[in-house]
Amino acid sequence: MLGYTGKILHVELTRGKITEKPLDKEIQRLYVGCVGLAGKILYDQVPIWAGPLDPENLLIFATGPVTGTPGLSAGRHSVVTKSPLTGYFGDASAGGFWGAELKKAGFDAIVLTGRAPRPVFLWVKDGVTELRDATSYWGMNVRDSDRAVKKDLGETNAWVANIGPAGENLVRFATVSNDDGDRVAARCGVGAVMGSKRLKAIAVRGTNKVPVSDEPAIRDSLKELTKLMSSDQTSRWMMKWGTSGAFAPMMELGDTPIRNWTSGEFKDPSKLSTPGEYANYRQAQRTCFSCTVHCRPVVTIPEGAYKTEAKVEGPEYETLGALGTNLDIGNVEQVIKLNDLCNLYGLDTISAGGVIAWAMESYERGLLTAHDLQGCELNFGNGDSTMKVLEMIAYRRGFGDVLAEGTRRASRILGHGSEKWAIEVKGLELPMHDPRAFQGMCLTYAFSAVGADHMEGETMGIESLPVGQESPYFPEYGLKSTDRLGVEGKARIAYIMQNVYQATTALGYCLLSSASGGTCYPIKYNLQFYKAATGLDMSFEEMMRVGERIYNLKRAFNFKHGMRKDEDRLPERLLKEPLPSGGSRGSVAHLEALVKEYCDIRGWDPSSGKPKRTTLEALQMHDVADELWA
Amino acid sequence: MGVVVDSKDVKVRVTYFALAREIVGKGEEDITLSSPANIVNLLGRVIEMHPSLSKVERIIHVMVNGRVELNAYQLKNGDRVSIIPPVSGG
Repeated sequence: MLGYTGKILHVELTRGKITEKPLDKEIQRLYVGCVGLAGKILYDQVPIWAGPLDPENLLIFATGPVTGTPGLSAGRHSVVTKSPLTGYFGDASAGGFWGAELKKAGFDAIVLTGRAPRPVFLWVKDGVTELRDATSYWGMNVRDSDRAVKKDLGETNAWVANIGPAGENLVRFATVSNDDGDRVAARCGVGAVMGSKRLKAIAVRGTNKVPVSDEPAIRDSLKELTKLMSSDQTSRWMMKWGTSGAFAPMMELGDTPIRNWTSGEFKDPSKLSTPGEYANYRQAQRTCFSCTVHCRPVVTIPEGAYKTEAKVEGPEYETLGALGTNLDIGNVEQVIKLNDLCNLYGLDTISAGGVIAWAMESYERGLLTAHDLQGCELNFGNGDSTMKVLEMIAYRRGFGDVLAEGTRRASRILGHGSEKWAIEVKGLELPMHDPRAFQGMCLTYAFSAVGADHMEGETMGIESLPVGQESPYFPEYGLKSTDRLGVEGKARIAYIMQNVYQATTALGYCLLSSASGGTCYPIKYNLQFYKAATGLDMSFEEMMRVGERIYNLKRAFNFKHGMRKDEDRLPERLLKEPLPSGGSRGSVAHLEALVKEYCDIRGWDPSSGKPKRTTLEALQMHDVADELWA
Repeated sequence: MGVVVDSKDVKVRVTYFALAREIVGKGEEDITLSSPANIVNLLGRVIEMHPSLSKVERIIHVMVNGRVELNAYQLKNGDRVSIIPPVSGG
């Protein structure tokens, strides 16, 4: 089984028992890796009565068959669990070097159950594993604990995945970070599940090479692709600025939310743009394992009220929106600092920004006062108050304890109609792409199992092309752009992109560099690298079937765990309030007009919303079909 | 001798975004078009001035005053034209 190690580590934390089991070949064949592999284990093993923060919930770290091999951007891992934010399927993906190191240390995945009696960390080195006491690290921020663990192990070359105070305090949108806190499995509150298990960190060190079928073929394809990308303008733009290079055009198109999704124009986008004022703080771009895109911004604020440590990773597009424009904060130093604080505490910047935007609107409507917020005047635009509120959230102090529950629960606790401006789907706060600007995103947000997550299938790369134009980078998709503000063709665009995204993630590749259109990385190289790593052929059509299978597995999990189809919705604000200005002014989200066609394409039962038996059986998901349609 | 400007000439402000800005080497500039001053002709003029943009011409999205307009839209003096390549990621 090349590309894979063939081994999964099982850790039962209550008794401190560690075992190794072989990777199930049928799961590997059908679900491939990362979110697919982890998702099937989660589907099979989490009892329906287990709450997300109960010991019986599983927390799974999984790599893909190409993770740790020399293929381009082949360094990802997924963190999968039953989400404490939504109660449904939760998955988050991260890059950096940790995933590759886990593979080199001898494991495809780690499955964690139970709850340790006291804080522990897991140490994995070249196949040897042990649980060690983490009491001295409990309470440390992400960066300090990462460094402390490596120092105490005497292993400067180890990579650490860990949680910060937010995870320890079970903040429902806490993250699992890795690589000195610079990379993050951010969404769905996976860090809270890790905290509920009293697991502070997983340190990995592997000196083995990941076994591959044809290394020269990988290197030849890599050389060819690297040359192609370095001469391509789109790729070079991404390499220069990362996703912050998309900030200005997305603002122009009216895609980036402003003031809790109420406005279409921001006072001065150049303050947060690159090129623009943000560029003044940029010192370098970092990269992940086996990736030449270097999309990770490195920044320093050397002095002043918002001083940071030297060379921290700076805000990317999502955070420029979530902790910038959507809070009406235009001070780039404040946004850099807010991003850094989230990284240190271990908070998802999108969800943190979302709940704070809700709180700001509640404050400005008079439902919250400075007294409620420990003296913070939480008007839109107040970056200093936002910093204090982030700390309150991370440590669950005062009203921070309510905000730590996420926007949906917080709005139900506060009441007084505040649910109307809680911008979430299934409990997950929306990312910084407005479906009023790109109608295809209505479907990704409303129907994805994890809730509103753009990385479940971005449609903007197609919808932002001129009408009638095919993507020059992905002719395999067979997709032509239609009017981004209209509904024509959107069901198919969303369907294809969602399947591509699941499959690309399952293989172990980075979506940004290889599937989103952010670079010119043609799909055929993904499949070439896969074949050279594993010795197995996979056609584009087969790849799409893997993606479709995983997408349906996640949805089936949700129905198994009590979801009803009325959760497939969008916030009323987006459906009914047109953007008043900007590049998508006058537009509302046309979800209703898209639903039937999309569900037909997906092969879902219209009355229950479940994937039909015939759909599941065509995808060789007979066990899931039998359970869902029992 | 002063420059004679045809009264039918139209002057617009063109703003370049992302890789279009990188290719052109600046964020914005004024361009004067003679009749017919429509989007197609403006784009042609832009490519003429910056030939390297021709590599991405077919994937460029054009907006006028923050709105998507048809190619035949008649530009007016002072219109703001945005040249935006496809966006993704983030």
